[in-house]
Amino acid sequence: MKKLLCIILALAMLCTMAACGGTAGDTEQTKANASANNAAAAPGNAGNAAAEDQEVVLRASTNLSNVTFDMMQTHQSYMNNAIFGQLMEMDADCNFLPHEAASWELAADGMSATITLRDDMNFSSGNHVTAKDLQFTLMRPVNDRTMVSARTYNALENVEIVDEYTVKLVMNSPWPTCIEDIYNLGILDSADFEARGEDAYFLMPSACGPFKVVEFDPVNSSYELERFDGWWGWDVIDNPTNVDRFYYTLTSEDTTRVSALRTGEFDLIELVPFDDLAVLESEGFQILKTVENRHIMIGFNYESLFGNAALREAVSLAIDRELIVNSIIGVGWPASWSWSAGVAANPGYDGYPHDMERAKQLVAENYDGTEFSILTSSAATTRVNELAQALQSMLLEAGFNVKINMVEEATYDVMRSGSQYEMAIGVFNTPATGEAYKEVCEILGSDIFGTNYVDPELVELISKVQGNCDSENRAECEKAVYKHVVDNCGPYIYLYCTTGICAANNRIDMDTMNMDCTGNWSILHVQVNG
Amino acid sequence: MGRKIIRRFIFTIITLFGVSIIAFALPRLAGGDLARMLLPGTATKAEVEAKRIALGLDKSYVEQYLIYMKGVLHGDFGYSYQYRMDVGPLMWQRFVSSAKLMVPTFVLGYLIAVPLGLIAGTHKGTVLDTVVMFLALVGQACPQVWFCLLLILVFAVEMGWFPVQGMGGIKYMVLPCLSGVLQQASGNTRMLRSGMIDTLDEDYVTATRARGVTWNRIYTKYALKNAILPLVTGLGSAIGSMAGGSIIVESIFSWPGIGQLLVSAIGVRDYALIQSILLFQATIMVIGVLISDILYTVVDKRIEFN
Repeated sequence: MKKLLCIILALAMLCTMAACGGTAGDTEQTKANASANNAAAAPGNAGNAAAEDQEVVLRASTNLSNVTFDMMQTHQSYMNNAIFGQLMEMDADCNFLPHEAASWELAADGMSATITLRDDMNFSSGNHVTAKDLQFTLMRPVNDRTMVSARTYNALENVEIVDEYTVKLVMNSPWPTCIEDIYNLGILDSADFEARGEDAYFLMPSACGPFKVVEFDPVNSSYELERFDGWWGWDVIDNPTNVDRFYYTLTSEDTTRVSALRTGEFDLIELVPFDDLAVLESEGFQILKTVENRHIMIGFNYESLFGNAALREAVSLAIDRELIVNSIIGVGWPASWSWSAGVAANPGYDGYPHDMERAKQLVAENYDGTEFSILTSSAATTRVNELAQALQSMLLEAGFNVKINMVEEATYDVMRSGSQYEMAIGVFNTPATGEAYKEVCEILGSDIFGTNYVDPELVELISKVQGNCDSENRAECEKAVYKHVVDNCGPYIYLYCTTGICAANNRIDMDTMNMDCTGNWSILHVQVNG
Repeated sequence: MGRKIIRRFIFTIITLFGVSIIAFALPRLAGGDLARMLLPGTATKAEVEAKRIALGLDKSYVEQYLIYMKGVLHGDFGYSYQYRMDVGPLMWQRFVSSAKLMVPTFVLGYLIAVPLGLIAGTHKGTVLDTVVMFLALVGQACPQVWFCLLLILVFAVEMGWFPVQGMGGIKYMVLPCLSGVLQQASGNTRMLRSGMIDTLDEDYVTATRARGVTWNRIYTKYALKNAILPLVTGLGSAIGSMAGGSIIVESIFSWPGIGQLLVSAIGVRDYALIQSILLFQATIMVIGVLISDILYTVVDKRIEFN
C-alpha cells in the first residue's frame, strides 16, 4: 500500500513537470487573453480601472531600466521621446523630417549649425517653448562634461540665441554629424527646471511631447504617461496616436514578460526571446522583427598572438556565420559589412567567406599552440553562451587551442578596455543611417576596444574621415576604412547583425508603429483598438 | 544578565565592523568600476577617469571607507549613482517591499511546518508520515526557479487566476509567497519531524505516559517544546534572510525587492548601495540571532541567555 502510494505521488510529480514542457496549445483561455482588452488595473495603479474603460490604454514592457528621464545622465531609457518629443523625425529611409525643429542648417565646414524651432509649442507646465529652452538644453553637457552623454557634444562650444525661436550652435572643432547626433534631442523647460531644481524636474518633467508624466517610480523603473492635450502636434501631424494613457513596467525576466503578454497584462513587449516566438504566433500575437543597428563582432588584441594577420584571417575563415545565425541565434543575418544590410549599400563587397580548410592551413603554418581564451560578457547579447561555445567549437576544429572566459559585464568592461584579452566578443551599435563617423573616429580611431592595433594605413584612412564635412566624400572615406578592416580581418571581424523582436496583442495596429531605420518605434502614430 | 547583554552588544558592534570592511572590500576586489558602468561602452579612458574623480573614486580606499562610515554613523548611507537617489530611502523602500513578501512567506512556512512536522513525527512509519515526508522532499528538491515558472505557467497563464508579475495586493502575493513557502515549510517540516521522533524516544516521555497523561497532551505540552528548538535556531537566519529578500522570486515575479536591488547594484558596482545593503542585512541577521537566543530561554527555561 505504501509503495503504491509512493508510485502514485511520483507519477503526479512527473505530470506536473510535463505541464511546463512543449508548446502552449490553443486553449480557449489563452486565446481570450490574447485578444481581449486588458481590464485589469496596472501594477501600482489599482484605483483607475473605471476611468481606463473610457480611455485607450497601452501597456508595454521591456527589460530596460528607466531610473531617470534625463537623457544626459543615462544611456538607457525608454520612450523618452513620448514625453519630450524630438527635434526631427526620421523615416524608414533615414531621412530627417521637420518636427519640433522647423528647419536647420549645418555649415559646410561643420563649425556651426542653426536650428529654428516651431513657434507654436508649449510645455506641459504652460510655458511657451523658445530658443532659450533649446539653448539651455544644449548647454547642459557643455557646462558639465562629466555627464554620461556629454561626449556626444564634445565639439559643441557654445549656443547663441539668434531670435526667439532660432539658436546657433558654435563648435570648437568640426562636427559633421551634428544633426544625426541631436535629431532625437528633447527640449527641457528651462524655467520650470530652474524653479524646481534638477532632481524634482526629472521626477516629473515638464516637456513638449505628446505625453506627460503622471506617475514615475524610478526605483522600480515604472511610469505612467497620459495624453498632453496641449501638444502642438495633435492637429498638425498626420494620423497622431489615439493612445490616451501609456504604462511602462520593467520586467527583467524574459519568461515573465512573455507570460504577462499572454495573460493580457501587457499589450506590447520588446526583447522577445527567439524561443518564445512559436508559442506567441500560435496564440495569435503579432510579431514584429526590427532591423537593429547592432553588430556582434570579435576584437583582436594585436599585442597577443593575433598581431599575426594570418591567424586573424584563420579565425574569420573558421567561423560559419550562416550556421551561427540560422542554427544558434535564430534571427538576424550574417555580417558582410560593418553596418546593417540594406542601408548604406556596401561597395559590392561579398563579406566574410567561410573556408575551414584554408583556416586549418593558416593555423598549421602560423600557430604555435598557445592557449588563448575568448573573452565575453555574460550579458553581451542573446544566447551569448551558445555563441561562445559555437565559436570555440569552430576554432578548435581549425586547430586552435581555445577556451571561453565568460565574465560579468563590469569585469568584462575593465578587461576589454585594459586589453586583458586575446580575442573578445563585442557588441556595437553601428549606425543604421549609414553615417559611420563616430565609429570610425571614436571606436576605431581612439581604439576604445583596446586592441592596440598597429596599422599605419588604417590610421591614414581614418584621418581622412576625421573632420571631413563633405558628406559624400566622407562616406567614401568611411567605406575605405571598413574595406581595410574587413580585408585585414582586424582590428575587428564582424559576425552578424541582430534583430529586435517585438510582440503585441491584436489591439495594436503594428503598421502604425512607425519604425525608423534604427529599429526604434515611436508612439507618435500608434493606433490602438480601444 | 546586564553584563551578558553588554558583552553581546560589544560583539555585535565588532561583527558589524567586520562586515562593513568586507562589504567595502569585496565589490572593489571583484573588479569593474562604477564610473565605467555608468558611462556608455564607448567611453574613453580619459572620460572614465574624469567620472571616477567626479564620483570620488580616485581617493584612497581607506579614505573612501572612512568617508562612508562617517556618513553611516550620521545616518547617511551614501548616494546611489545608478538610481540617482540617496541610498537610505531607496534601501528602505525596497526592504519594505521585500518584507511584504517575506513576512507572510515566513509565517505561513512555520504555520504549515509545525502541524505537518508534528503529524509526521507522531505517526512515524505510517502512510501519513510517508506522504508528508514525500511532499517535504519534493519541496526541498524542487529548484525554486523551476517552481516559480511552473506556478506562472499553470496558475497565471493557463488558469488566469493570478497575475504574472508586479507588486500589488494579495492577488499579486499568492504565487511569489507560494514559491517561498514550499521551500521553507519543507525544510522545517523535516526538521520538526526528526526532533519529535528523537524527543518521543526519551525516557521522560515514557514516564509521563505511564502517569496517565494523554498522548495529545504529551505531544503539544512536553515533546513539542524540545523538538521545536532546531526551528528556533532557524528562526534567526530566517529573520536575517528576510532582510535579503529572495533574488529568484523577486526577479521572476518582478517584485521590486531588496534582493533584486542588491543584484542590480553588484552588476553596476554601485558601491554605496552594495555596502549599505550588506551592512543592513548583517544588522538584521544579528537581531534575528538575538531574538532566537531569547526565544530559547522562553521555550526551554534550562537554557540561559548567553
